[in-house]
Amino acid sequence: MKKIFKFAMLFAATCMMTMGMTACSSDDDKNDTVDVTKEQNDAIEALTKQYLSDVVYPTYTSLANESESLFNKISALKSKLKAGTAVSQSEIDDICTSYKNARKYWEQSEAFLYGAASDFEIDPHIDTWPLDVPTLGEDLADDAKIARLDAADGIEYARTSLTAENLGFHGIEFIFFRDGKNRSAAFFNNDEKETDSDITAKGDVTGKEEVIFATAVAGDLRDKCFQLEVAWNTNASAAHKNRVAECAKSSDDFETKVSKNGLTYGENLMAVNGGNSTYNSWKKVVEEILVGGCSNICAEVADQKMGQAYRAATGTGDAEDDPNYIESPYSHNSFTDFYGNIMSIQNALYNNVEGTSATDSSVMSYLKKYNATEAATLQAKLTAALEALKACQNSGKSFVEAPGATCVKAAMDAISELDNELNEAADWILKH
Amino acid sequence: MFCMALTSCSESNELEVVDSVISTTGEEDYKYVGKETAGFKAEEWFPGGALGTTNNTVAGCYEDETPSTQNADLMAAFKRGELLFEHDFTPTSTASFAGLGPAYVRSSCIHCHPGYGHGKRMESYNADQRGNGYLLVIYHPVDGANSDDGPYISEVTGMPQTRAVSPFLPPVDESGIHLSWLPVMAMESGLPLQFPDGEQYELIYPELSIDIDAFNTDPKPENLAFRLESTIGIMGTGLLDAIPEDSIKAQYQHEAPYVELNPNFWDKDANDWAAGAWYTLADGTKKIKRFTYAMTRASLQDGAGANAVWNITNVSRSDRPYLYTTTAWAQAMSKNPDVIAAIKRDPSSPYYNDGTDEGIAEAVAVLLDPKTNQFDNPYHNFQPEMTDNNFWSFMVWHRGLAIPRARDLNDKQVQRGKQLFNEIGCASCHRAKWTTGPDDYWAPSPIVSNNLSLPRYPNQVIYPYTDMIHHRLYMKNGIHGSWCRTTPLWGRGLSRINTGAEDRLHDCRARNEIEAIMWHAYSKKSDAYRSTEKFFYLPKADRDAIVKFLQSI
Repeated sequence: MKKIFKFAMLFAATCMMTMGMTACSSDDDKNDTVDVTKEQNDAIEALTKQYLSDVVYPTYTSLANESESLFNKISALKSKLKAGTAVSQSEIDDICTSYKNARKYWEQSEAFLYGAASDFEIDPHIDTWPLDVPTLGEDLADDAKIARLDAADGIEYARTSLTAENLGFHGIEFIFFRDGKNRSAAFFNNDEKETDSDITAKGDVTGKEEVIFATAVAGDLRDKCFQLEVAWNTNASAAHKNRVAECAKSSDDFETKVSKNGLTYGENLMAVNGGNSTYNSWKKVVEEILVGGCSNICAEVADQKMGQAYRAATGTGDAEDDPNYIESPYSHNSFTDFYGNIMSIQNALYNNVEGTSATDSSVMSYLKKYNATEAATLQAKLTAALEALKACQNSGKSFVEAPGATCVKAAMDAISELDNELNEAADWILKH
Repeated sequence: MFCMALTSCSESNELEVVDSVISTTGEEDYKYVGKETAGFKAEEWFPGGALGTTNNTVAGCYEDETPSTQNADLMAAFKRGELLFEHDFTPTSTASFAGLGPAYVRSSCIHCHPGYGHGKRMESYNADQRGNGYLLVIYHPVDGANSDDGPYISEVTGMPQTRAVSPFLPPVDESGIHLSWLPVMAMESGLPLQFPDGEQYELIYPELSIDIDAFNTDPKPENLAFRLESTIGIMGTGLLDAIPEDSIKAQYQHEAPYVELNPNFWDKDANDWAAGAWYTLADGTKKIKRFTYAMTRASLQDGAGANAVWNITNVSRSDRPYLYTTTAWAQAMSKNPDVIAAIKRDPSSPYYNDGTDEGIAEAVAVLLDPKTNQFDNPYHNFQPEMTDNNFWSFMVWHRGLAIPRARDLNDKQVQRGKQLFNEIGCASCHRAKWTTGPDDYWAPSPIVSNNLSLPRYPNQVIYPYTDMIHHRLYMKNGIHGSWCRTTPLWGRGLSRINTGAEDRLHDCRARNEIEAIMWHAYSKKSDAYRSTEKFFYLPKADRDAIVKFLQSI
């Protein structure tokens, strides 16, 4: 993160001046700074309402629905395999498509990881990498464990008994993707043996056993995505609320409310005027959206998700930069993940999902109205970051195949510049 | 230094104009940041000084690097350290995160420091649950069955482990741990659980027990008492490391005439350090203890974090060739038939030895023993699991964590809160202001021998709100050892936005600031009783002002 240090550094400069100082007229200050007006607060309240209704809620609803669909499809696959019924490649492909759709919605939610995803530790629960493949091998080769995962309470067993690295998206990814391709139906139909050396080192593992594992993990993923939706959106579907309530009976990590005030996270963001929010002003809400949300994911993508493997591949960082620290290595979906992350920033700035321009009530339009120059600069940095990632996607090689590619460095730099500009924009909005 | 009403027009009209009468109601703080306000110097907006403060005050601000880290061009190492802090270690996994176990407290640092903050109050002890930052404290009570005092048991480690890598069993089986929260029905001090204006408050405290059968040790321990300790926030600790020892000594001398200080730390008659205040670091350097609740560590680079990345996970490194285990656990494992049988089935096991039951038992007993050098022994020479460079990165990150700026110092209620905080005596122990020294920090061999540097904070005026001294509160089921370092209050008001919770005190028993304050008056013997009694008799508006002040610093 490259947060705003302007105040502190400016303050340091002031401290060093010990002699010959006199006060300027405070008019200077007044000329530079427009008081926060009711108009601005009203505008922020309106854009926050739309941010929730048109970005946060639909993104989490899509994620919840798609993760449910993914679970249902993998469950159906399990049933067929257990019954000895053949499955087609199109059925496997359908699961892979569903996985990637869910993945996209998740990545597009990462500009608002603050709140429920962080407070309830849902982010690390469903999206940790690298995978712990040796332990996955042990689990898959353990007949008793597979039987437990296949039992009626297999989802809860997965939630409480599997190592954290193997829960969530990437455990499922390993089972349905290899080398950037969907796995073949033959692997599952014929009950062929797994060939990954880390897995085979632990014993013989069949496709059916892997699908039993994936079903339980997908069920847990679905439940956690439901929790995200319910924790933000008071009007989430009753079915999803009921499922979360059911999970809460046996697990103590299914909270859905801001503990201080009992509100959903969406309600909490909107409760500024009533004084019941954990945010004490509308400007604080904008700071959260821009810095706590957008800037944080920028830094994560540039410095960690891309940076670790890039520096290892190019020898430009520490010797210990981890070449295996690559998200989505089995589906070769990394660049798409990163693109989704930056698109989530666009969505948060535009107040729509994958729109072509900002809606009238949005952070970007607010900025345009009050500081068109800053808005243009921010837009340029956003466009540049998305284009740089698009160039990576079109490079012909996935991130895991070429983590040291020139396009990777270009994207990292563009995303870092976007991060800086997000903080500049926040700084301006907050002080004017 | 921060002369009033000084600014310059000559260089830039952006410099702040000091206005010492700023006092607003319901107005946000952005345009006042860096300005003197009624009751606050301008510098108080930046509790970590210019080199140690982040201006970020929203989610994730506890994770920010200091300006000093950026200035020193240490960002790549900082990010690497961040990664090591946030990710799970596993027994084998990828190189950077391998080495977990054989017994461990948690699989990652962030398990106990959610959002880089204080642990959250929990209903059970669960080492898998992120945010559950509890450590078990198991000791032999003296002066009564449930005394706060007494030596740690030797059968398990000081921070007891409840997890182990297969085929070993954890030193303490979590299923035998029982935690309940009980209400205080009446304060020992006699203060009612209701303020004079009728507002009520509730206090709860943990009751912990562990079944003897849950101990996988040989021998099993006897005569036990139990406590919980939660983690505290880790931001800004580099700044505390930079406070000169002479300044801390002056604080002891200042307080000693008025309050009984820990005789193990302060010789009142000599008006000087007692022998127990000194800590001998790895290279023989002696420094005054200042870190952890019990003040057991003297340097951040040998402090809770530097140790935890080794002993919480049991990940070895070149300067830590020994396991964090006990002989009693090693003995129990060496005598466990299931453990022996499992190793016997795996000739590649480092504990295999000659493959006989006796040979395996011998290897297990030696290799799991805390006195065995893991890199140099007759049975199996392991390699350091964390590289020196990764440890350095971790310490860059640790020492590089910023303190968020203060909030709402322009607000009349906050200003009133500060005034009261001083008037009723809170600031006697929660000392606001310190000035760091040259910050010629101590560092261990992996950093020094490789000529690596860490972020520095020389000559910074900082506002941590701690006197860096032990005091006693005498709470029901209080802290082990009775003495507890005054907790720094800086940045704590941002706990909720960073972690989703804001529980306070050493075991998270306080669910809000009022409860935390009132626990200071549970007993009349408390060092803070008189101040808290004054708080108790304040009108509600003034109590609320103090709370608002605590949330703002």
